[in-house]
Amino acid sequence: MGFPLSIVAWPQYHLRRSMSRKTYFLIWALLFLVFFVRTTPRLLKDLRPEKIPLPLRTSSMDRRLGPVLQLVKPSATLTQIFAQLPSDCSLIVVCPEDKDDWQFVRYAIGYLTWPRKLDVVRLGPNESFGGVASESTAVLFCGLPAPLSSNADRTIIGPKMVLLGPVKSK
Amino acid sequence: MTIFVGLFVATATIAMAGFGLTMLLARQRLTIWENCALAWLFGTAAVSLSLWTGGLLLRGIPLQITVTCLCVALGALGFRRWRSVPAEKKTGSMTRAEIVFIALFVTELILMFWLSFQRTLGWDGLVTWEIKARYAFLNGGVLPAALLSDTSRWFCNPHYPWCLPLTETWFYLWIGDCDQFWIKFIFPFWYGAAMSILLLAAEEQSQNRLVGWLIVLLFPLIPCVHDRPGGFQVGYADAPLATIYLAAVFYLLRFIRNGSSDAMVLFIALGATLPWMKLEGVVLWATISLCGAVAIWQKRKVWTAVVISFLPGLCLIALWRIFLTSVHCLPTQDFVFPSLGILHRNIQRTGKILHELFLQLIGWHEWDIFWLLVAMAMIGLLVRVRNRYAAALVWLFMVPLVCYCACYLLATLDYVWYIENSLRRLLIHLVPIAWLLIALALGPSRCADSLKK
Repeated sequence: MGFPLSIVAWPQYHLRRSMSRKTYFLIWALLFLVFFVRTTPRLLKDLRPEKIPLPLRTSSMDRRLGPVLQLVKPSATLTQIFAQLPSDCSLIVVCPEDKDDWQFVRYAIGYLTWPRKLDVVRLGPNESFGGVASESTAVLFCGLPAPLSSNADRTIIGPKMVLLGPVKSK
Repeated sequence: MTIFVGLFVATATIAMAGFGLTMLLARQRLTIWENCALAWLFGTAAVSLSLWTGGLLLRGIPLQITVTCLCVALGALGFRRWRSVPAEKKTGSMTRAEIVFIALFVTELILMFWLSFQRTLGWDGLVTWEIKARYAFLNGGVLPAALLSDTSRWFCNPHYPWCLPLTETWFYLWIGDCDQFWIKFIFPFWYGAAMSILLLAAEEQSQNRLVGWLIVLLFPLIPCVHDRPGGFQVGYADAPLATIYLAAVFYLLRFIRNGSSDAMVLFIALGATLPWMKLEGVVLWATISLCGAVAIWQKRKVWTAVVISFLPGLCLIALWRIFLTSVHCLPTQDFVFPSLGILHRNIQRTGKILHELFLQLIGWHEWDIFWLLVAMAMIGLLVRVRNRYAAALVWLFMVPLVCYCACYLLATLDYVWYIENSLRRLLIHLVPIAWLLIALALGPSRCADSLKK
């Protein structure tokens, strides 16, 4: 760029640059403002205090299990019942195949019954469970009716679960 | 009362170990923000690794005492080192605006604790992560090897790394019980660490402290951060992984900027802990290591330094694989090993994967206009910045994103269901880096830089 031209062009170039810079930051300011205005109410809504669960040691699990099992303290109830099983007793969980709610229940039972061995049988709409409780195996029916003819100890756990305890040796 | 004492002691021991390690790795004093953040990040890694390796020989009280002694010893060594290194440069007294921003930041942190306590642990937070902490606690602080070959409990992904579960175990050991309510206390610490680093990183990228504060204060407004699985309050490993990745990226960018040895050591050490937090950490570690290798070569021109930079991460990955093999861990069933045949067979999934990614990015209910801001930042970088920081940041953001999407080509499950359930959480790993892209786009342009010179 020659000297005479640069004298003319330099301020114009700076003015243009300064304008585009201002426009650029103005766009950013607007975007941040939109983001702030749109998202703040959601954060405030999430902070509402009525959602706070009771500070119980099983609060997270109970919150998911409670509505499915319709029990008041599901984790404590299940832990208490499983504690009565012999330590070498394995557990078969029988539950409906295609219901998401029971998936978490299966996992929760796995969570609570450690270190007992666990087997899961998922039944379709027209299928039935062919196994039986034995000396070393208990069967837990979740969301399905338990067979009546079994001679195993029957523990009813709320409206949705039945535990057929291990058969006692004679 | 016992719970509060337990929480305090567990936090203090972690902070001591982390502070000690930070001071041993860095030769110069760091800022208070960095010290606090790194104390937590290195502390959790050190305690969980100590519980894992110590658990091969000990259990119960002896294990707890040994790990506590190690934390105290590291803290003492670090303190000795801290006294011997020269004090950091004073940057002048705090302005009134700075005090206001700090007050807002403290409020934000308190809100994060509040949110954490009013949310329950999420599905994966319970049955993938906390479940292992419970089993380890019931087994004297050691995760039972039987879990790794138990087919009936495969749902808890026992082969996932143990940084988070063993950190939770450490708290349980000090509380003296498994507690799904109080364990949520630990997650806002990762948030605090992430924001401390983000403040410094955004400031360095934009060369403007105000932009740093702006980004830190806007960060929690993304709905996914406070309202969805994967955020900081539901007990998942994604947000902690994002924090470690952010810290590693911050020190890598600082190394690119000034070639500091401290920054190099810190990005290598932080990068090495990525695979210990979550499986996807391997992708993030590989991304940062490759970028770091190029940067080290440009700065030092020494091949040995380049090779050594890979070693800590490689060693950790190898040790973990050897351990899993030695305890006969069941092989993973979610993905197949990549081969040309598999890729050729599944390549038709690409369109659907990209479509799902697009739907996720425009999901206003989950992200609002956040990804629009990121797109704007990308355009800004392309037009205004185009320097090596922009190149490094775009690499550190895009490569993991491409790898994550490519993983769905290898999924054995219903991949669409899998994308819908996991992509949002995977994007959380990259959210802090996306904010750095925005900070860089708000920094001085290339022309301004050249005019200064």
